[in-house]
Amino acid sequence: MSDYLSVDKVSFGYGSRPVLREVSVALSKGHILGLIGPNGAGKSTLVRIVLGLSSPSSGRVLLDGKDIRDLTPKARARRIAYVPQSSPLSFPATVFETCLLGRTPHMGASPSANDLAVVEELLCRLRLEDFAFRPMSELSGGERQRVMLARALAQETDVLVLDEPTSALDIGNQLFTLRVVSEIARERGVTALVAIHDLSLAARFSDSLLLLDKGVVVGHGNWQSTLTETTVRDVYGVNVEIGLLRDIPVFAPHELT
Amino acid sequence: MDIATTAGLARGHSSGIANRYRQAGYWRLAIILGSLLALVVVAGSVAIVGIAETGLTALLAIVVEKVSFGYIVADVDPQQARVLLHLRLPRVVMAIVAGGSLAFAGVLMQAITRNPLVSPYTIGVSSAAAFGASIAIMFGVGFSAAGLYFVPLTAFLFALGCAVLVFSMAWLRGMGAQTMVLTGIALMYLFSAMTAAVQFVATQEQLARVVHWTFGSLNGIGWDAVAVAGMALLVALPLAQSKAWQFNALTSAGDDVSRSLGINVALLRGLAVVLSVVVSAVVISFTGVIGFVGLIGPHVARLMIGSDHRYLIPFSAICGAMLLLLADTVGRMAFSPTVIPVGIVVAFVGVPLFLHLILSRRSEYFS
Repeated sequence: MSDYLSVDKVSFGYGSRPVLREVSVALSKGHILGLIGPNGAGKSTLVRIVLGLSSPSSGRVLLDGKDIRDLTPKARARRIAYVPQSSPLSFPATVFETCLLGRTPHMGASPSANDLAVVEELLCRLRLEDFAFRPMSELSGGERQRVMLARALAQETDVLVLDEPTSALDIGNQLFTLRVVSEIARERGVTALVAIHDLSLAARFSDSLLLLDKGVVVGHGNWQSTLTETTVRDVYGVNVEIGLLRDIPVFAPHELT
Repeated sequence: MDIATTAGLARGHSSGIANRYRQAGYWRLAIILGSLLALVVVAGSVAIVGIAETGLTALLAIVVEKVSFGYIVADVDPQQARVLLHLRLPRVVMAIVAGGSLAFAGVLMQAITRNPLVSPYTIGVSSAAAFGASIAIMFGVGFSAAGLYFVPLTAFLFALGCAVLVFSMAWLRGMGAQTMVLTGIALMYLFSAMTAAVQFVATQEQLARVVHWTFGSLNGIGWDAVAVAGMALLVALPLAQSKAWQFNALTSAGDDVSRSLGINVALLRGLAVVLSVVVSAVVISFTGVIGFVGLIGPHVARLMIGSDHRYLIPFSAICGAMLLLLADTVGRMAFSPTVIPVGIVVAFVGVPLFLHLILSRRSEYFS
């Protein structure tokens, strides 16, 4: 198994307070990694570092063997796309315009016919064609999240980084979003890093999980080995029952420790 | 919600939305060209109205003479020619340049701060220019080699100084939008207070001049001012236009996503600050403080043409130009022969228009 995206001993700190300590993980092409851990564990910081939005204080992120900081911003934008948690709404653009922004690293001053075709196809695929000319502000949270996913997919990158893409969504939209991500990962061999709070969804849609606690990797592997009743209790401070309902992993918190 | 698989849509599946997007683009282009034509027509019409009688033929003859560099000589009554060439035309052209510049500066500032309430006024540039003009009027006149241009020059330097302060504060904090707005507002209050303080020691005559300056007017504008302000706008507009797509990303996707799209956000913000400050400071230095055009021009434009900056930047300038041109004409004609400063008229025309926009627009636009 060749490593396509690897995080190599990455540390990060604000002043003297360490946020990440020597985090390492390697992903092969088409792999979906679920990044889990309690609030403040360093998930978002790791996401920002993989995107190149923050620089690690030590360590590096390698994409196909190259340090991502050695790529130009435009070259990096052709390789790694970002789905944020939310989007500003002060000047609402339409859905089509928002999605078309994903073509920015591929185009000159204006979008080409191919750029428009890519966006059209994605909007149809994500069932957004009926909203295409509505302003983002008129959409529901779930629809907005799908637009941001469409924008990232329009970038046609081989790495996708999602920062808690489902935390503000109803269960239907949660499932839809993650299903699209996993289908795209299979179809196009896209490697995905998904920071996510919902343990059940994380276990279900990830090929492997990385469990962070206070900036340190405390578990890495398939969900059965990463999320045991012991690790969840130690990291989250909650006693849970873990079970399977029709092959779907379920985590039922019953008591704070 | 049906969450069945989404795979299997063939490439090339067409729903016509790409075509619809393309057509919307043609429409927007048509709106821009149409409004440019309208601006020329309105400018010509208002140039021939006023106290002194002038006619359309005289205006056209003079324009043809000037455009052909005197090759075609205009046969016009010299009195009419003087009025048109040295009073009306510079005034009309300056209204267009000033309105265009202020709205252009407004749309850039709103874009980089993602704040619909920002204009050259909010970011402190106008107040700094007013303070500079006040102390020039109070202490400087007659002592300077710059002579006639002493007041606008001092105003311009103070506006630039204010912008440098805002810029460096923002730079220290990673070029964030919030810092820029907050620093600008703080400086606006500071410069207003300093202007008020200076007015305490002013003589009656100086006070009148300071007050007149802070109202903003196109009285006595000559071709020199038009040339300087026009050049600034002609340089800045294409530069901003070349970054229009990046402004789209910055306003509708935010800093992090813009950076993940490969855009150098700090550089873009820096460029936009420089362009908008220089362009608005040049205008304000000659005309005095004309508020509101920089705020309302972009809003009217956005309402009519949408938020794609490839169309929004030029169209905002056109809307601002039209607004200031009409306001100045109202100011000239309403209580003729008394001329009301355009800064006052703009507020009277603009505020009701703005309130109407707030009421008619979907609430989240201004929330």
